[in-house]
Amino acid sequence: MRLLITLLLAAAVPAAATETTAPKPKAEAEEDGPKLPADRYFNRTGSTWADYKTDWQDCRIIARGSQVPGQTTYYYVPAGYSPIAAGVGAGIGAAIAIAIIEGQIRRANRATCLLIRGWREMKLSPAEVAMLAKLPVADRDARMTDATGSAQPTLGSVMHQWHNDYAELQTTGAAR
Amino acid sequence: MKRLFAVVALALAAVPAAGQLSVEKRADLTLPVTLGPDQAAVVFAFRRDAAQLGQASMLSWLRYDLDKRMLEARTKDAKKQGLTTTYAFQVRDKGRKLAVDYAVMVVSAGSYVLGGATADPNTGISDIFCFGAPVFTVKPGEIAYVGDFVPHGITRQALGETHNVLGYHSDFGAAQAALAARPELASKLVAATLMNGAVYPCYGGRFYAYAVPGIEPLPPMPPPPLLPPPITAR
Repeated sequence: MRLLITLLLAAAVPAAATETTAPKPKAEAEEDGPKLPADRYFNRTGSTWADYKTDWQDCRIIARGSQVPGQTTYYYVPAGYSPIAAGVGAGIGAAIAIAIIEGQIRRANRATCLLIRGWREMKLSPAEVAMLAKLPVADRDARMTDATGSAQPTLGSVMHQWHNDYAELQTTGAAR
Repeated sequence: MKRLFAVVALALAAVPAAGQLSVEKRADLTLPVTLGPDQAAVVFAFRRDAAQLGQASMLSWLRYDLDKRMLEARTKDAKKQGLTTTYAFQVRDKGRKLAVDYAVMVVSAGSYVLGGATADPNTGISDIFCFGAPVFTVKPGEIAYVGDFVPHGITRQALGETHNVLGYHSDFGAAQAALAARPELASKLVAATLMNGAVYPCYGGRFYAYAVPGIEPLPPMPPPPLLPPPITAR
């Protein structure tokens, strides 16, 4: 019995320790800061990583409906009010579906907010990702700092850029 | 009997439409359109070329306070209070197969901002233009043409993303000609003055900006009045 208790205690200690170091759920981790996939970054001529972080935080609040774009007034949005929830239904499965859909929409809205503020979303090629991964951290940071504010970035290609295409058609063809 | 019905119909038509907090019904253009003392009429068109036949849209316009640069929200008990101010109106495209579909909406005088649109009029508004949208003002008794909207549907853009596209086109002469059968509207029709860049809280869908091409943005908001200096004890 004593052996069993010892084993259980031994098992319990690392479990409690790992709980604090375990990776956070994706949605929660995302709210912590402007993290990006390894193959993406945002570019705006003359801007810095600090500018990007400031805009990201502003856009995060705007995309939640708590602030008016371009203004400083804050609003309370009741958590239970969800037009998407109204269309999906009820139950645990629906709740998960709503969370996923809302998370995707929130990310897309945040990205649109950044694009409207003049940022361009850039995509790195697999070769560029591999090249950056091999660089020492200081060199990689220097390359990314340069790419963030460059007028003609030498890293990656433009993935998204703001254009008034909702009102002014600029297409490659109908999607349906 | 027929004559009696005709007289009753005409009498009813002569009564202005009761003010509504939210307007979704178009004015009936087979009857004379009469406005109440604080009402105005706004004219829209959904226009399609051969490529857009089968596509449709719906627009949502929201009452806007230009001084505060904010939506004018209706109070919870607006109905109980008997308020008749229009706080929102929706213009539903009814002519997927028509080259052009004109809609006249009777609303309260005031300013309205484009609140959203959808590629499918049978569903709710999916796209919100809270990052910047056109706004216009109508005065009491005014008949204002806002514009033609061209529904392209969900369309792939140059950089690969897909979203709804609703082109803007202005043809005042065509609107005036289309309303010729209703001289009380056509004779007083004016072009609404639109300005881009009205913002409001983002909630409830995909957020975009919508800028009517070739028009001015709203002037910058005046700075808030300075507070009086604090009173200090001697």
